[in-house]
Amino acid sequence: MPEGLRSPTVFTPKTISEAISNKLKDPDAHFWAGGTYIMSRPNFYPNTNQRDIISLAGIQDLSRIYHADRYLEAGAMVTIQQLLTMGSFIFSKELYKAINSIGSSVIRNQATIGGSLCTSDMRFTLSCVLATLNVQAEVRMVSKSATARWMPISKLYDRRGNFLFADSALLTKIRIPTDMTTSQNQFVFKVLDSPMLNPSESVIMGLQYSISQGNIMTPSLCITLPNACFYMSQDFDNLLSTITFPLTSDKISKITRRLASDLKLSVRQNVDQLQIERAVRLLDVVLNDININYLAG
Amino acid sequence: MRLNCNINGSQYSLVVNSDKPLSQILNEQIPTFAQNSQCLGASCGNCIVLINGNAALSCLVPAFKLNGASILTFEGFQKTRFCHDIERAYADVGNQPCPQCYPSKTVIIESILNKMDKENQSRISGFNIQAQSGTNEQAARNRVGSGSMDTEMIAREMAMSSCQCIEVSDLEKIINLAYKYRSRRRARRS
Repeated sequence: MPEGLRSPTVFTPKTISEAISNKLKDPDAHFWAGGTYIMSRPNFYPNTNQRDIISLAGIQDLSRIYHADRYLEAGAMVTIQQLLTMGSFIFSKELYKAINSIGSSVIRNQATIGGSLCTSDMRFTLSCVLATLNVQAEVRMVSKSATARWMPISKLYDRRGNFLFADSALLTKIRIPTDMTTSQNQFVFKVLDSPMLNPSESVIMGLQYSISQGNIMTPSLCITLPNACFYMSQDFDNLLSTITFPLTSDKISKITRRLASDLKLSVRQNVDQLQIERAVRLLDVVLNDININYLAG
Repeated sequence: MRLNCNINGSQYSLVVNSDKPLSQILNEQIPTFAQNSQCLGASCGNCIVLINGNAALSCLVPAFKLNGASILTFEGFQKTRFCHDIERAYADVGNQPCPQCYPSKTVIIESILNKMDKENQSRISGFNIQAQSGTNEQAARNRVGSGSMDTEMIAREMAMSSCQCIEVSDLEKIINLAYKYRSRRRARRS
């Protein structure tokens, strides 16, 4: 053991309330799910400022998957690979492909839903995919009453992609509506570059929509720049819902210009302009593809 | 904390920091491992090991998750018969990874073969349930194919190792050949 280095205490609670009481006793301790993100940070070890660990691996409630008629409920400690295996019978092809594109199976076996959604300052593929699908998350507050709240995934983050409940809550489960992913709703998912290995150039985009009588209905767009922005705007979704097909290039450029100006207001200061440009071009490509598909019938 | 685990068939009892990455523990215990793993958590993919049979990046696994675990590094895996299937496939294709990433790519290929095996088994069992009568297992095996993986999937799995010393098309051939050898051996045994 290197000199001056303290071995962090590892709490191994068996229930959610036990985990919360551990957190109340030791506010500096942090919840540990899969650990893939925490351990991949530079200078993770050796580090003299190591915090104590509350390992969530022993909590059975967090590792359950429950499938009802209209939704799939998965605990925060369910790995992405388990979600994928279960989802292969339920999810649409596009959603399955989107989740399957998260790293390799070695990473998916280790990374958990909760860990992927609750990283403090970086947003990855899963948060974008689930936010686009309006997935709900149950968040248990770290307080003596340990009240639980259901909220959309998009409300967990601010516009710059910071997790809003870093030390004040524990994400316990998510609820994915399966009827939305299998009905006539279309789901488009694109990712440029690896969000984990190259976060300063990567762009993730998810769009859910349906087309009725030449109009885009109930669009839901999420654009994520992993280290700079988590963009989901009701105003922009309203703008998308005014689209009437077939689209002209003027109309597409008007929409993409609006996105560019919105992103410039949302991102962190140190963001590369190229990353914004990539996000804008990505939307341009997606709208053109939808237009072509519409024209092709 | 005291860590009791099995590394390459030998039982170890170590006193380590609870958050110490497995890659660093292996660096200290197995001298040859240190030559491969240098990234210290930057996901270079060279430190991949098998933990209880599942491939994992050892730089992303903390000590407190390893009590009672069975860890197999490439040095241990090399002594098993499964490694010979992959080495034979390297020889037949006439290409192999560079010495730097040879251990990690071989272990990743092993994890891909395990995955293909599991998928094929589940497909066969699923098929057997569907076709209750009139189809024997061999026929089912023929219908589901040899369990080959598509190029995109292989490229994604191999992206764990950042070294680009070998073409994906060659890797695809190696994986399919190694799977064939393994299936043949299993068929001979059964």
